[in-house]
Order: sequence, then structure tokens, then C-alpha cells
Amino acid sequence: MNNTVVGYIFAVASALSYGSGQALTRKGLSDLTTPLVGATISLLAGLVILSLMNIRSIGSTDLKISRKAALFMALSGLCASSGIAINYFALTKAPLVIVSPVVSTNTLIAILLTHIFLRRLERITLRTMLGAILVVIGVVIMSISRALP
Amino acid sequence: MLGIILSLLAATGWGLSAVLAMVGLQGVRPALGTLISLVSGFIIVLLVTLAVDREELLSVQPEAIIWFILIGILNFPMGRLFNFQSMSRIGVSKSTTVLASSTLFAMALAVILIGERLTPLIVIGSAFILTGLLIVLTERQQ
Repeated sequence: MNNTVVGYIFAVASALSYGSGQALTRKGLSDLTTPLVGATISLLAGLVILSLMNIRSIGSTDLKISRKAALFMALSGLCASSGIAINYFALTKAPLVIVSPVVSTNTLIAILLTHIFLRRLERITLRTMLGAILVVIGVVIMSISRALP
Repeated sequence: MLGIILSLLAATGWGLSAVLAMVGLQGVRPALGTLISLVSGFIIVLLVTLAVDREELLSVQPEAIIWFILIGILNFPMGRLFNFQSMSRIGVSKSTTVLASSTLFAMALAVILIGERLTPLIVIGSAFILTGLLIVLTERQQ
């Protein structure tokens, strides 16, 4: 199968997985514990399962990863988790109806940063930009609708 | 004002995370890359939780643990790993755009499984997301 098609299938599968997680979170889970504790448990569960999945390659002698790649992946995780923590504090300072739409713009920020820093790796087309803007507008509308009383 | 600044910072954190992952994925397989990102991510979230929510963390109910383990499975070995697999094939711009549509899937599941009410704003938002997705997914590869 074409590599691009596989890429799109993974992207949709990822959106479905995250979407299912969000749907579960809505099912009254916010009453069980705080978002930060929930995120800590979720991350630990993910960490344990992914360690088990990677156990063979971690033990193998042909494991060759550059320090630079490992550092960038670690920084990526650091930024993603900082996003979770900062989002939590944002919600203590402003209502969901404001925080949620602003946070939804992370897709456009990712594209802007890609354009600035990853020009060598990726070219952003006008069509992708237009699609991203429409998706973000849709997400903002939905998050406003959800946050309204 | 502080709330908006923090929200923008959170959005920047997530946006930057995708860009950093794309660079990292040039030298590491997505599965191992996801694991590395989870180690650093878990440490930072654990430290923040211990600082501000320590009592809640130590007294969390077993029911919450089970639900959040399930969410963790959906978000990390699945969501993040699939996202990194996708990013290494189609790039950050396309994969993050498709990923943003997770709100649409969440809403569809909430309507079907939890019986959440469809409002005109949700229908309008869904139409925007679907149109955007269609534009990205039907783009010819150059």
C-alpha cells in the first residue's frame, strides 16, 4: 500500500483513539479525580504498555538511536506534558469557553512552527493550510458550544 | 488575561511537541520514540501533580484508576503512537490537521454512546471539520 495512504490511515486511527479517550473523559470521569491526577495515571499506563511493546528492541544489541533523536523525542514529550499542565492552570484562571477555543489553535501553531523550522523536511501547501484552518474553525465552534451553559 | 496567555502557552507546547517529534522521528522508530516521549512527559506531569495535587494522587479511587488506565491505553500506545507513525509518513501539517478532527469523533461517540444532544453549533462545527478534512485528504501527493 502507498506510504502516504498508510500515513493517512494512521492519522485517522490516531484521531479515533484520542476521540474515544475524550468521549470516555466526558462520561462523568471529571467527578472521579482531577485532570492532573487523571493525566498522571494515563501517562503511567501508556508508559508501562509501551515499555512492554519495546522490550525486545531495548534488549537487542542492534538498537542504534542517535542521541539527537532521543533528545528531540524527550523534548517533544516534555512539551506535550507541559501543555497538559499549563492547560490545567489556564482553566483555573479563565472559563472553559475561553480556554478551549484558544487551546484548539495548537494545530495552526504546529503548522506555523513547521513552516519556520522544518522547511527542509516539509513543504506546507496552500491546500493543507486551508484544510487546517477549516478544521480549527470547526473545533473552536464545537468547543464553544460544549462550554456554553 | 492570564488565562488566555496560559491557554496560548498550552497550545504552543502541543504545537512545538509535534515539530520536535518530527525532527526526532528522523532518527528513531515511532514505537521507541513514543516511549521516550512518554518517559519525559510522565516525569513532568508527575512532578506538577505532586506539587499541586499530592493528596488527591495519594487517595485516588480504584474506579478512577481503572478508567484512566483505559484512557491511557487509548491515548498513548494507540493515539500518540499512531500519530507518530502518521507524522513520519505524511508530515506534521497533514497529520496534526487530521488529528485535530478527534473532537469530531469524540462528539460522534458522545452522541451515539452517551446520548449527548446535537446542537446547531455542533452541526456547523462538524461541517467545517469535515470540509477541512476532505480538502486535506484529497490533496494529490507531489
